[in-house]
Amino acid sequence: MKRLNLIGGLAGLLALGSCCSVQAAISCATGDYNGTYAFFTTGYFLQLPPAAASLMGPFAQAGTFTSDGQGNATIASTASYNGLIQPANVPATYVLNPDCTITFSLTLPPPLSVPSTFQGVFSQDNGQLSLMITSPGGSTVVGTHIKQYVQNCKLSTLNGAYAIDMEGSTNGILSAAGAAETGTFRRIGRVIADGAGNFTATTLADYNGQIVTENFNGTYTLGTNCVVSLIYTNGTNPSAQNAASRSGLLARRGAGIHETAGGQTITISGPLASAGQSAMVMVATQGWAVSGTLKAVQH
Amino acid sequence: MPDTYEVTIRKEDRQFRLGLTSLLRRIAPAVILSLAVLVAPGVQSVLSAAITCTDADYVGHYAFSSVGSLVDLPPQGAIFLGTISQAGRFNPDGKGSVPIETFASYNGYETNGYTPGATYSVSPDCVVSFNLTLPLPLGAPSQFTGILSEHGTQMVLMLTVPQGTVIIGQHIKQDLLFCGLNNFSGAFQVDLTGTIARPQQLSGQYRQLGRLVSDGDGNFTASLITNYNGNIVPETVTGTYTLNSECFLTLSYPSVSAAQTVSFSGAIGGHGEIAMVTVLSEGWGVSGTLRAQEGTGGEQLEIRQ
Repeated sequence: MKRLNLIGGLAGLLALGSCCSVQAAISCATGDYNGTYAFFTTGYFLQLPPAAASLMGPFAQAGTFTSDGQGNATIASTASYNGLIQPANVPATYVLNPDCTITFSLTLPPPLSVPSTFQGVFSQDNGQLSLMITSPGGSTVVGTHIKQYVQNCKLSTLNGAYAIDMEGSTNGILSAAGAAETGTFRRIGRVIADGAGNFTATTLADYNGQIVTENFNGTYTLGTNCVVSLIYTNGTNPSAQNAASRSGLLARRGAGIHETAGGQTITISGPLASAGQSAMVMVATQGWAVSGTLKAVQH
Repeated sequence: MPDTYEVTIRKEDRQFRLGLTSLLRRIAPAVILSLAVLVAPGVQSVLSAAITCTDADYVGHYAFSSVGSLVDLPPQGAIFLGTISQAGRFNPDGKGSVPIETFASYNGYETNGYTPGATYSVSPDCVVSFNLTLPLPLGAPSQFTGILSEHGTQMVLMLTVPQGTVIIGQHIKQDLLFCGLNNFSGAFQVDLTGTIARPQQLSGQYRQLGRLVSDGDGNFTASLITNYNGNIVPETVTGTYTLNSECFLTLSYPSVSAAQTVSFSGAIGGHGEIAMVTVLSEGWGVSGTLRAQEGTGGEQLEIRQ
């Protein structure tokens, strides 16, 4: 994103008035989209071909878009289609317009495998991108992308307190009490990482209108590729088990947090964003279509 | 988090924003506690203690928007079951009192609310607990819980009492004291989400992305991509806006795809680089953000939709 020079701006004011000079003040070129962006996605697939009908429903995703600054990108992600977890790595091409809107063309990864178009709008000096699937129709999927400046991550890169904010849906998650949980899900809370592979979390979870205090602890990994995974086992977290009858039902996987539902290990995993102040994550455990962020309380 | 400290120091705009005094105040506890690490073992407990908040750390004006669902209400409130969206401003005084100003849609029924009697407390771990009576038409005692981040400039908030809701709010501190039309100027990313209950031909999930250019004088143009329950509709619109001295923004434009004039309102956050808004059209439960395309370097405003 570049500012036009002062002379050009003044010329715009004189020739076109204040309205158009504002529009001319921001300009993007293909090379302005360069590097890695961490992202998470949420939404629904409302219409799909009969062969893929079982995938209709809530969708969540987390991963990275990496651009070469020349119109090519690689998308590495983990996605949840109605609770079915699928990793994917697909190429895409893009066109970045002068007004800092962007269009991606790609073939959606299996199991969908159809040509598609994403359209988005940058903000914050190209540091943030909101992106929507615009073709084929039948979905309401939007992603939030944040540029990744951190590199060569290690455990100590995730250190301190983070606000957790995740949302989505669950599909038949089996609670510790044996009940099938299906519906809207939200979680907020606070995760503290010790910088050495261990974390504790105090959270509030909302299962379709039922608010539950869920506290848990576990371990995390953070590779040099800056993908964090937090893992915990429900059965080993007395505070979570005792918090409510549904305490065993969370399992997170994706950007680095594992949750265990009814004895399962749950993983929450995804890439770090910015300079490590946040992570774009999803629950990578079957039955969950939940994504969101970890955001540093202080940095 | 050493990497983060590096960036904070390098970013000139952030240095200005935080101010040296504020920075020192924030770093001081961490420095003291870091020294304590050398004396007392136990990394985890030190990390927990390294970040402390008090009521005084939550003060000023916070623009907010929220979207969610009311899934369980008493019989007399059944008409409001469904989507809910809000935008407005929390105004904490740093001493436990927080008047709230809102525009809200309950299942598509629009209302303005002012809640003067809300109270809050901030725990040392930067968790904020709110007690208030929900504005009419609900009028019920309630509790919210929020988690502060980004040095207390952002918060994610959940309605926890009464049960039966799935509502999350995103808050960002307002750094402007007074506003005029030119505080909303330039190009903005539009990012809205929610549900439309009425009219039937538009009903279902709703998403909208786009680019809005404001002339700083009450007029804007926008190129929008609107998703009506899976149907993608591109549209270019022109409209007008107002921005009052208290930094409340209202935009209106005639929409061909919606076959109505669409209006949305909310409060400006930061120094004008973001607005948290909700659609005021009857039958809509939609809220979101307008984010400046220039400025802030992509680190301050990671607002989740």
